Amino acid sequence: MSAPLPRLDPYLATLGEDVEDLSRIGVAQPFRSSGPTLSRADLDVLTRAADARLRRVAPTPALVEAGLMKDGGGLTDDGRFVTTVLTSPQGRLRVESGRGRAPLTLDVSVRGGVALALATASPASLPTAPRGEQILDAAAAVTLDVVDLAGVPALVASWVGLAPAWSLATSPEELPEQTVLARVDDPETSPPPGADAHLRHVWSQPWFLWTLGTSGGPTGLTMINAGPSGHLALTSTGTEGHVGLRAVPSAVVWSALVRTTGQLATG
Amino acid sequence: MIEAAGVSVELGDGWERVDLPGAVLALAGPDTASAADGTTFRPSFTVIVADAAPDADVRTLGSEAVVAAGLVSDDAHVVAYDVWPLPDGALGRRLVVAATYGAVPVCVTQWVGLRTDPSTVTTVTATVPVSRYTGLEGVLEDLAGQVLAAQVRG
Repeated sequence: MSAPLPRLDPYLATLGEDVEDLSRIGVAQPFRSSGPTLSRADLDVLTRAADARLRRVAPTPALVEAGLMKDGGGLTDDGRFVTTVLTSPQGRLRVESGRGRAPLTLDVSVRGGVALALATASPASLPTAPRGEQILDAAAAVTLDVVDLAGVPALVASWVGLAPAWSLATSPEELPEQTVLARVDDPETSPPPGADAHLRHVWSQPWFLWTLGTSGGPTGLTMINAGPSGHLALTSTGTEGHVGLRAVPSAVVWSALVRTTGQLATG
Repeated sequence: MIEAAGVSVELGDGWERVDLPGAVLALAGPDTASAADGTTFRPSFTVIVADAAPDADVRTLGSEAVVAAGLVSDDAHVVAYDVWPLPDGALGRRLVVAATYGAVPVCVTQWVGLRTDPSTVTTVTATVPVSRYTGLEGVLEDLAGQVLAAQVRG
């Protein structure tokens, strides 16, 4: 007896496309840091300790616990390594995103084949847009991870929630920029006139915007994570006030992340 | 040039055929430094053909591959899963997984194709260090496509 069929994608099944429901894979693999959590104030103290020559900078408990500063002040070897990479990187990568009013970032500094990542909460891992004090929790604390440079694409993929999804070509491909940005901010925003069924479906999914830029390349990425509907690229068009909106298969996004990191290595 | 799994393969520099029990074809690439600490890694390409139940369904096989991918390493992250077109209207699946082997960040790409009469499932797996992914992605994808097409045609 063969194994039972997997659950099918509910939207595509209505169109006669009986393919697997991929929506649970991304949820099951949230961004996880293996490093310490530090506040912006901790990072400020760490940077001042690296600059201090004669003046003693008092450590914070978090920096001592993370093994970056000594109890009596001064940097540990790990602390010196971290501050060297942070203050004198050979390349940088920054991913900016947000959920609700919480600005979220992933900053990667690269030096000697090693990458240091400072990450706020992942926009993909927040079940809902943070409110009130949750905004501080999401945006003001960062986790610190040291990974191999070649591990950066996976780190970014995890942080932005790159996961299997059925990419649907939507129409129209060119939309008023204000309408798209309004939808990013407010899920109640109506789809534009002329939206086809796929675009209306994608429009109804949870969205967040993320951008990626590096010191090694002139161009970056501007993407919308549309939850179970995968990723869409926002591109410039020849029409003033309009943007291109194009579904991009997850495998293509992955290849772009790998290429981007490669530029970082040479940039 | 070697002939196996229904295709002729021109091996690139440093690539060789290796013995892997159960595989109809296994290739290993050159051992190169693939992590900042100098750890080396050999990219690989394997083809395994196994009997399948007469009523096997590629959707089930693909979903099982996703579950198995999570076991590749503690930090395995499935980044993509697609329908993979095969000859004669048959459909396969491809999944892409980011993982770490020891100190080496790798990308594991796996294609699954189902053939009927006789019912067999072909699994092609390419494991490449991320540092070499951009250069090898297209070549290995093309080879996987040829292997799957040959296996599905029979």
